[in-house]
Amino acid sequence: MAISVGLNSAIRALLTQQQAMDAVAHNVANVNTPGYSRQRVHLAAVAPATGGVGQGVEMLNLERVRDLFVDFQIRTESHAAGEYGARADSLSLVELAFGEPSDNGLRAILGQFFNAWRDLANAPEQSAARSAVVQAGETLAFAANRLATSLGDIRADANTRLSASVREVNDLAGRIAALNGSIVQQRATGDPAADLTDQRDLALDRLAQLTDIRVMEHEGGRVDVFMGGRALVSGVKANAIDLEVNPLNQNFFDVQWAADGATVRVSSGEIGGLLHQRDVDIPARLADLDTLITRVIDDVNLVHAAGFALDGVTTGTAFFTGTDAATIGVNVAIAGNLGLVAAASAGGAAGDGSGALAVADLQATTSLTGGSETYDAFFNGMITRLGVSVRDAHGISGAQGATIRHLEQLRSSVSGVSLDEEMVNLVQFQKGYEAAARVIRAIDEMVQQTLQMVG
Amino acid sequence: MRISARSTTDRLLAHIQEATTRLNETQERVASGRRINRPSDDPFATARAMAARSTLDLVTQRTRTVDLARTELGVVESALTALGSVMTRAQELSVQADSSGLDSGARQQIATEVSEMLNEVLSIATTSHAGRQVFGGHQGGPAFAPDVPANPTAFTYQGDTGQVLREIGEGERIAVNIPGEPLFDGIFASLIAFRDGLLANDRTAMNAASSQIGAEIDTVLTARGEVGARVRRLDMAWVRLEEEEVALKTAISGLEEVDITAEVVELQMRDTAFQAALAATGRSLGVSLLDFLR
Repeated sequence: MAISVGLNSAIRALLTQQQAMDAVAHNVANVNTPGYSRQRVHLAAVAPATGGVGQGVEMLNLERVRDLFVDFQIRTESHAAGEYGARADSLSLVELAFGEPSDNGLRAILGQFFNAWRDLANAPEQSAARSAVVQAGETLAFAANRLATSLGDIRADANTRLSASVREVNDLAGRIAALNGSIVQQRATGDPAADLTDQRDLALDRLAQLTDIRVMEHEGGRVDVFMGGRALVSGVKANAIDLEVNPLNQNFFDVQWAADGATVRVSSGEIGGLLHQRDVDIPARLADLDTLITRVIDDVNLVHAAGFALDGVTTGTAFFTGTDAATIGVNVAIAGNLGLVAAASAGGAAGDGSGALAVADLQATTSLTGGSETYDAFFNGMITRLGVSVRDAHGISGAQGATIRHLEQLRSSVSGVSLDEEMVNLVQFQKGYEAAARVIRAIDEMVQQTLQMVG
Repeated sequence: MRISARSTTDRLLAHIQEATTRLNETQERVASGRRINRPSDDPFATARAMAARSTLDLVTQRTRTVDLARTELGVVESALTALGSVMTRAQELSVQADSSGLDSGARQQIATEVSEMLNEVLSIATTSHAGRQVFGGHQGGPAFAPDVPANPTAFTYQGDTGQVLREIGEGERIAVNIPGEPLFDGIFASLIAFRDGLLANDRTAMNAASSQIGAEIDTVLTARGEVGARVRRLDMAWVRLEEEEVALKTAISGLEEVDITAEVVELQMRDTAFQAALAATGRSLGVSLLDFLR
């Protein structure tokens, strides 16, 4: 065996151990980097050129340690987490707007309205009692208006968040497409492009929270991303989605493909959750509120129109104007002339309060839900359903969060950097380096001795 | 399972966050004293609490109405008592006037007193309470008006037969007035007849008026009995409302408020869990192989 073979393999060992130590250094440096996957150097013995002893060690490849199945699971669970997170947020706001249970919410205000009529029945000739009825009616109208506005605001807020999410989707899609290009190039040279792949996976994770995506990985390292059956990212090309104002839906945004204006079908993720809140869930709460308020307007107006005003002659006046929660108001004619409040059920009887009692009786009338529920019962039912929805949304979003945390633990146990492990590797490679250096010294001494013998 | 540096910190952080959240929940409940701060805390208890609050609002309203009705019937009752004593006095005068020893001059004097009585009855008949004519039904103006104020020969009823109703329970209404016409018409007529008999010194007419006065006293007594019965009904309603109020308040606080003892114990437990999570974190983060490689 030539001496140069031994020196060569020692030199190769020095370089290889150094490369392995570089990998340790890279891992340690990125111990806190989000999305980073630890890298492992695979070493292999170099086969002898002609037989006999081998030629030392070489770095076979650099492995990016990653469990692709956990990635897939995390992304799948992220859709639901994003969706229910968005729903829980919006519904909590709705819950806050109603502000029940309290003595200041719509329930109490509705009760106070009918109690004002009872007070009027007890003192029909007193203008203070008439004024109190009008005040209570205005408070009720104002509370209903405010709730309708708040629910509208929450819808608008979902719309604003939707536009931010859509921008983020485009941003992420562009980044993934660009990374696809770089990764394919690097992989072609034999480099695993580990760090770029980490960045791309991080972008895919975030994208999975925003919308329900399907990811297909191809030979050569590129990934294609599909959303609602169409390609969002195809190789190095990102297909943008954009927002179109829809005049038929209160000028809220429709999400569509920029290329041809087709609607983007999203059923989950933050975007799916926001769309569901904006277009289905909150409008349903508003519709419930409108059902209640419209019933109150119609019932009160019908009974009130049958009564007689203070002058004992005027009849047929509507108490409320408007048709729903957003438009309800006290008839301005009544607000301007308290005498028009119909407290009497017969003409020419100023002291008759039975008309007012007839209005108050509406509170106990089951005129909603097919004649089975009073206003109070209907409203309580609304609030119960809302409470259940909020609790469920929070529950599911919390459970999804726990599942994802668990999966992230799994991912971290595979891909995360362990400083203890890296230290052990460092010691191991350092010893390898020292030993290789020692071999070089031994060969050097050997050569020296030989030279002295000659000299 | 392989443990990485990140998984350790993430897990410890998650534990601390969970412990903090749980501690916060209990703190909020202890501080606010409320078990339900929003419907999602317990949707079904919320619905029951809201229904109970609505009923309570109604009970409070009805208690107020019962109080008002008691006052109003009290006014009617004292008017009837005053009316009763006027009529009793009139009856005494009719006995006195029938005495054969009286001359026309003495009867003139009695007639003057009876005229005063007519004025007194008129003021009773036009009693008003809180701006309402107690005996005028649904009408606003004075319930009765004399034809000639100085020397009336007839009183016209200006009210109607309307009942002034107060709602004291679900669909349960009680009248707090007595229509004036059937009560006072006879009284006015009997007193006028008595006065005219005295002035004419006509003992037959006086005697006829006297028995009429006796009959009217019965009418007043009957009316008082009727009002008394209504007051008793109000008393019963008041007791029932009072009981209902206590029951509802108990139900609401049971649904909405926390059991403070249990909650404070829970708070203590969760605080301990929080401290433990912090201590565990402190110890785990400090240890690394780096400490031993020298």
